[in-house]
Amino acid sequence: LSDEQYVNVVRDVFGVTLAGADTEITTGKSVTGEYSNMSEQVGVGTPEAESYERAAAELAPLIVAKLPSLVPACGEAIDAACIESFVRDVVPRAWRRPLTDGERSGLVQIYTDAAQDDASTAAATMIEATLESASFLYRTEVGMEAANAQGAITLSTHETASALSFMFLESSPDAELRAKADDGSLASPDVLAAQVDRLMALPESRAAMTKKVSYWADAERIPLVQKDTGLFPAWTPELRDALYGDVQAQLARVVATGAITDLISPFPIETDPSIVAVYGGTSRPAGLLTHPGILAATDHRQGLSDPVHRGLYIYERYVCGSAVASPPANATSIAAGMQGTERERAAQRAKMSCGVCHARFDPLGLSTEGYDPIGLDAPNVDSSAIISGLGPDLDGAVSGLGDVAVKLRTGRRVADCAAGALEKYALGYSPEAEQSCALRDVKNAFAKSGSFLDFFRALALSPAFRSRDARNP
Amino acid sequence: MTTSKHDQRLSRRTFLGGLTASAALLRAPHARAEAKVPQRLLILHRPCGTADTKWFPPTGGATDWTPSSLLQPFVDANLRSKMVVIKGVDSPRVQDWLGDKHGAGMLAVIAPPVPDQGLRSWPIIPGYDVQTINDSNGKFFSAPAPSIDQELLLNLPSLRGAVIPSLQLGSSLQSMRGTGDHCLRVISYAGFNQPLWPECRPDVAFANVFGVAATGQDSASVSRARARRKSVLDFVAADLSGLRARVPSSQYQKLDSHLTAVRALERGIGEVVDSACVRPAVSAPAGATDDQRYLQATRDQLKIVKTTLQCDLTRVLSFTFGFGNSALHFRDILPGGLVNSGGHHDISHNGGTDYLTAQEAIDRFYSQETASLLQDMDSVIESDGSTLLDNTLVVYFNEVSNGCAHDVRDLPILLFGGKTLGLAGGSYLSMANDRRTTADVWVETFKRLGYAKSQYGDAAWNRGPIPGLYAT
Repeated sequence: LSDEQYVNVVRDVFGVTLAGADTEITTGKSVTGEYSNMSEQVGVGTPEAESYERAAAELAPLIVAKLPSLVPACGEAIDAACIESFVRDVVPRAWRRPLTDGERSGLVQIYTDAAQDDASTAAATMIEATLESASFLYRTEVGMEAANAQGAITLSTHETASALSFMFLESSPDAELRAKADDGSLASPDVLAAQVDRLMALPESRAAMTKKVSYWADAERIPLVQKDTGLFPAWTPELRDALYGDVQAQLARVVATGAITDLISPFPIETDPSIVAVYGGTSRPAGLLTHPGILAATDHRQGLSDPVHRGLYIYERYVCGSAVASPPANATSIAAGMQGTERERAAQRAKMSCGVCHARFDPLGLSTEGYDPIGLDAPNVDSSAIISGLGPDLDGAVSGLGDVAVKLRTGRRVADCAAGALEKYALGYSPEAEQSCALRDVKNAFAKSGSFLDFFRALALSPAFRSRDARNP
Repeated sequence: MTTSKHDQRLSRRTFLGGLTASAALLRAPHARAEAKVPQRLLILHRPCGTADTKWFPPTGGATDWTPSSLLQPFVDANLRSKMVVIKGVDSPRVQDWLGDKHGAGMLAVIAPPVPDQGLRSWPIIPGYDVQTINDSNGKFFSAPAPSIDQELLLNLPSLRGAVIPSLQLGSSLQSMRGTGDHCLRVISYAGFNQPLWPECRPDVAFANVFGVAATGQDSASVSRARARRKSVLDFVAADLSGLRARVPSSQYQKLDSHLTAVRALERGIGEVVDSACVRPAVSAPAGATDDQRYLQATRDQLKIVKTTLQCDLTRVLSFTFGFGNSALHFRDILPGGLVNSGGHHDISHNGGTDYLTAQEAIDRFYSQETASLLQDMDSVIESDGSTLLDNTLVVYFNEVSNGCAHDVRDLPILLFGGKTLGLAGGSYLSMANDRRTTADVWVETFKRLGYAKSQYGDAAWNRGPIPGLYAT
């Protein structure tokens, strides 16, 4: 589970709501605004184990206090019957599956062994074990016979329910979904479709889908953006928060009712007074690409325009051209030795070995030069560029981001590019190698309608959603 | 998950779980009367450099050295025979490396020194942008590997076995997790980008350490707390093993890593040695700001340091008086008129009026508080007649010498205690013409601790032995 999911499950299953610093379950991770819950990238070492240990110890007494409301058998006093009911009825919700007899008796035994101290302490000890267990911390997707599997694994109905629930709600399955998993009916395509439609209509589901789109759009970086306030006194935390809020509102609108191309079509942004005060009230010609929040977040410099990273942003998030290698070790020193405007530096790069990669995204970056590092109009700066090598749909002269957006809105390139990222965020792993064919139908559906709701629905109903490759790390 | 009293996060260690108390007596169990006196390691850090002209002995030689203004508090506390002053020890880093110099100074001392690879020598934490990485004051880097305290803990059985494997404390709220980048706040690391943040709130630290020790708690109660913890970890380990049996081999590495971590936690459930120890009286510091609470917080935290080591609740402890850009004002310490609005870090960069006097006064404060702690530790008589200080190797360091220049030369570092290791107490070692680094200090110490490692970090920073640091 990600920290967010851990917090949500604790809230939904145990009725304990965490806030502020208490929502930081694990420690030591950098915050980048990038989606960071890919299964192949996440492991539990000693620091994480200690973090989970600490979180469980802190939560357990709070959950003990909730026992009377969680379990009817728990009255004023905690006793064995109360604990047995808790283990039978509540723990499976936290673990997202039924417990085996051995697991049930093991948890009850922890309580029994510790009950010589006092019942509350004993119950808290049992709850610590519940929360520190791999069955709680890991979302298993191993089916029934995975131990010796060499290829495809079909998820159990409980694993399918869990995958659906975390995709749409970032939390454990609710009662109805759990019931469909328990009775096995979730294996039926009709039942599955009905559950997907039900989940997608929930407000929490819209928020979770919007968040995933926000990660793709790199909008989760906006709250982290820092600028040189000496050069840009208008860049305040309040403005930053307002811009983040505006982007989220735009994303939510398009996720609910629009198509992906709406995100790169002209739209007005300036409804918030603090935004209007800085940026005025004009429409933004290329939607998100020209949104001040995105422009500020994709400019990685604090005081200078940054066509390199802005170009890379468009290249990686909307164009999905061939992969760009990491810059060489001496890239920074080469850049430090360059003189002239950003346009002149791009020309220098094009003549050097740097041009092999930079030629692909530098023109895209130069088309952003009409906006300064915080997204204000820079009217006297040339934003023309000649795109080449990216394909007939994109190659050619452009004059600013408006032209780039016009090109991107044709064809299915942006939909395919976004789908590649959203599949990973929704599934929690990288499906490309094993299921690119199986997910082709999902991408086709998305490219056809452009609707994010259609995309997530098609993904959830895809056969690929219910299978994994045993060889995947 | 917040305490109602102060609305602060209660980071209580789980093996002490379930009990908090306000009474003052801790009774350790009586099961190990024959226990050998344990070896301890205490690393103390104070920030922002020193008044370098007031630090080293102005006159005298190896044994007849005259205490400087900043060393006088240690002599006044009768610690002269239990301390070693060294001159000529440099910080194992290059001043021009990109990145914050205070963070660099802290990491260079407490983590394996990294090779000089030009401006970008520090390991970069993923996610920092190019501009920050290219900033000479950027906080984009981290320890390359476990810090010295954690490495020794991992490799030396003699440092293990206490209830708490290691403890990280501080006293300024500016050092706490959530206040900013870690390179200039943290002095203990589990590994690269794995800071072990110090707990800087005495009431919370108290609950962390002494939570189990309610009045009248006897060995049976402590044993039961330990048994509860063990039952949890046994269950967790069994669950992991059960899951491992159900998954394809591609998942083994992930689960094995987790299982190893759980087993490490289990090993941490040690036994408390047989020494009666009195819990200190500490409370949530009065005062809303870091400045207002700092004096009481520091003194209460140092009481916890002493008692935690005395009670053998931990054998590896690090403490930081403040972070590398400390903004503490020291209004109660500095003579009138010397308080500077920018605080200690600004003073160290020649801010305010008579900044040299102010810098000296602040570092004298650190000397005095440290001397008081060590004097207390020296008053604790252990079962074999030696003192707690004798059995503790104390390293007291600052991340830079001259704060304004972030000077890497002549770090103001002292070693105390370590009598059972043979530390040559009473000595003043001047290596000014045959310079060494802190890596050399650690390597000399490895020999005494029985840690078979002849190099610390990159070879270029290992300059050679330090004769006279330990008795031959």
